[in-house]
Formats: sequence, C-alpha cells, structure tokens
Amino acid sequence: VTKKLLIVDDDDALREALADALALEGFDVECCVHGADALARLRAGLRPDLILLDLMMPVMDGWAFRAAQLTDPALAAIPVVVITAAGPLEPPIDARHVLHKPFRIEELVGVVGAA
Amino acid sequence: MAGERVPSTAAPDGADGSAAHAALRESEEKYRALFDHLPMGFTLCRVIFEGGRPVDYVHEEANEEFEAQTGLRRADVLGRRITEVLPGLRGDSAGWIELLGNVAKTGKAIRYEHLVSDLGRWYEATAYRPKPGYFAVLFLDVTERRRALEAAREANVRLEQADRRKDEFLSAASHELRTPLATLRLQTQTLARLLTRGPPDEHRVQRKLRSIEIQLDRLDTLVNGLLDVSRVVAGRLELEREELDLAELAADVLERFEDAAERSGSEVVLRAEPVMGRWDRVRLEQVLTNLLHNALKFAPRRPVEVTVSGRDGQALLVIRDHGPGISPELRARLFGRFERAAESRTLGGLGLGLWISREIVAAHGGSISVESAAGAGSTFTVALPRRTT
Repeated sequence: VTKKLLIVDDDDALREALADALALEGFDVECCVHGADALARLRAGLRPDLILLDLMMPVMDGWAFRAAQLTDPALAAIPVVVITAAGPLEPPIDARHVLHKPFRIEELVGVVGAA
Repeated sequence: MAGERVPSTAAPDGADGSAAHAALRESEEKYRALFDHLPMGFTLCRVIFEGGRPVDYVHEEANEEFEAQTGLRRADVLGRRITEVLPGLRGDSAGWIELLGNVAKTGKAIRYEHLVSDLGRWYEATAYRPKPGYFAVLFLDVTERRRALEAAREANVRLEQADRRKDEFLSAASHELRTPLATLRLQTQTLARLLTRGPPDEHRVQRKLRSIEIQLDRLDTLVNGLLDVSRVVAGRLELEREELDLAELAADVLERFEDAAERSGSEVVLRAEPVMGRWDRVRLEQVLTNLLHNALKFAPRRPVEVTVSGRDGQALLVIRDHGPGISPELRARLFGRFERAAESRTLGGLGLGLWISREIVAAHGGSISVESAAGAGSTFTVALPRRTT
C-alpha cells in the first residue's frame, strides 16, 4: 500500500523539492503551506500516514500545529516527523523524528519509510 | 590620630596660668589645623529632638573642605536647620534625619553612601557621636565614581544585549542558509536519481535546474548581506554614484517584485515623478528591495504604496503598507544591527535589512525614518539629497 504523506512547509522551493523527491520514491504526497492550512485539510478529512512538519512558518507555526493536532482525538495519532534548520529545538516538540536541514534523500526516505 | 590624647583644658592655678593658657592655645591651634586641613568634608551637627524623636539638625561647625565637597558656603549653612538648607532631606525615603539623629542618641557610628538630592551628588560618609546630642560627619564626594560605575554597568548591559543579539543573528543566519541548502541537496540528488532511471522528462529537469538557480541566488543574496555587515563595520561601504532617475529605479525594482507581490496577495502601486540625482543605483535598489520585502512579509494581503517625489533639493522615496504597524518599543530599535521583529521567529530574516538600508542612505547623506501606529500600517520615508559635491 502506498504511504500517504502530508508536507507542511511555507518555503515554496523546499516544499516542492521534498514533494518531488518523495513522489519519485513512490510516496503519495500532499502539501500545505502552514499549520493552519494543514489543520483545515485534516479536519476536512485528509488522513495521511505521516506528517512532515516544518517549524518556523507564518500564520501557524509547527509548535502550534502540533499542540492543536494533539488535542484533536481524530488527528492525535498521526505520527509527525519534524524538519528544522534550527539547532536544539526550543521549546521541545513531541515528534517521531527530527530531520535537520540539509539532509540527504537517503535519510529522508529512511525516516519516512520507518515512521 | 588613634591614641592621641587631647590635653586637659582645665584652667591651671597661680603663676603657671599664662603657660597653661599658651599650651591650651597651642593645642587649640593644633586641632583647629587638623580640622581645617582635613582633605575631607567635616561637619559637627546638633540634633533637634521632639518628644525624643530626631526631627532636624543644625550644622554648628564645618571645615574648609566642606565647601569644596558640597558647593555650599559655610556662612549659608552654619546655625541653620538642615531642612532649610536642604529641603529635599525632609522627604528623603532613606530617613537620614532619623538615622543620623540615632547616631547622636545611641553613640553607634555608621558608614554609608547616599545621594543628596538637593545637591545632585553622592557622598561616602562616616557619622559618629563626639558627645551626646551631636553627631559629626566625615564625608567625600564620590559622584564621579558612582557615575563611572553606573556607566560601566549600563555599558555592560548594552554589551550583553549586543552579545545576545549576535547569538540570535548567528542562529537566524544558520537557519536562513540551511533552508536553500536543503532544497539544493534534494534537487541535485533527485536529478541524479532521475538520470539513473532512463531518459528524464526534459521539462522536469528544466524545472529542477531553475529551482537550483533560484536557491543559488538566494544564497548569493544572503552571503552578500553578511559581507555588507563586515563592509559597514569596517567603514568600507563605498558608493558608485551615477546620474539617475529615482522614479525609474523604483519602477525597475517594482517590476522585479511582481511575483512576490502576487504570492503575498498584495497590490503594489507606484506613484512617481521623475527625480534626478547622483546616487548609487545598486545600493538604492537594495534599500527599496529591503523595504518592499518587509512590507510584503509583515503586511501580506494588503496594498503597498510606493511614492517618489522631489522637494526642496531632496528626493523622497516613501513606502507605505497597511499592516499591523510597529510598536513604539520596536520602532526605537528598528534600524539597529541584528534587530528583528518578534514575528521574524516564524517569518525568517536576519535583522540586517533595515540596518543596511539606514547605512546606505546615511552614506548618501540622507536619512530614513518610520511612522507607524498599531493597526494603522507603517510608512518608511527615505530622504536623499539630490545633488552632492
């Protein structure tokens, strides 16, 4: 079964590069531009197997998205992999895995495949 | 002076009277000289009690140095109540009248440092009781030392703030560099993978190459921004002036912003009249780019107006947005190096744009200012002299 991914990132170029790289690896990919966008899509019924979440985004950042996701019983169980350019995460965030930019495709695919 | 005994002042008997008198005078002169030439202020005060409580005191004696240390003339002080001489002492929260009155009452000496608000000076002092109901004070003006300490403390706070901002800047710079790097790595690796799977779709390859080029431009801009910091710090921001029309320059920059404005959902309107001057084209484009970039970043989905006009030998470039406005607190430090709005945590940015812009405008002999009110948007005005020699 094809794994469904939701990429949440405000950076157009990185979002497209991620989507293209993961689609080439056989994943089914959807994209959102910030946390509020993702939350709306999820509440409208989108059910990915995994969310790839950027942290620093306008409108609703990754921390706020994750907090909202965890308080919604219908969405709380969807695993999250965080993508960040920051060093230590402040405040910390509850995630399956943290990918630090710039990462290699092998690492990305490994983490996404295992999560 | 410790252990030195004051000779008895009791009147001697009979024929020894004149000798004793002379000895007494000699002793008096000796102690008067010690008192007068003391390189510290000295004063003897009598405490006025009401119901056993000290309410005021009167200066009965003061040495020469008293005048140098306080700037007060002894003639204006001696015999007068302190609250007449220094009325501010009455409302003094430290309660000095009571504290010094207690020295006269209990005999327990105190050492202290305090600000005499009426004189605007700090003193380091020791008060002791020479006899019941009195206190004497030895004091030195330490205002300069206090000010130096205060200045050092303030400088230290400023350094700590600058240090913190530098850390934030390094963290932001690292963030800003890593995102295009991540895109570059993904795109080049994806290209390589596409090529291993047979002849790739040419359109897809072209799109990837274009994306790579855009990321390289982004990195180039970032690195140039960092180089600008060292240029400005080293005083090496040099201008290449040429005769140019500011209205034309603004139109060129706005054209380059069409895509960004569309993405932001903002309409950017230019109202410009030709204004000629000798300026550095690239640097002024950088200023307008920074200001427009901020307007689209902080005030998305709202119109932005750019105006170019000439007035009184000056060219005015005005960028007005209709965003949330800038708080007075942020406005005060907006043009500082490494200063970033709180929103930059989520919106990105190095905190260099406005600082560099101010430096560029200043190098042209002009000025940059901002007017803003909460909820009413912000207006940045760049004023440039039109002719320079």
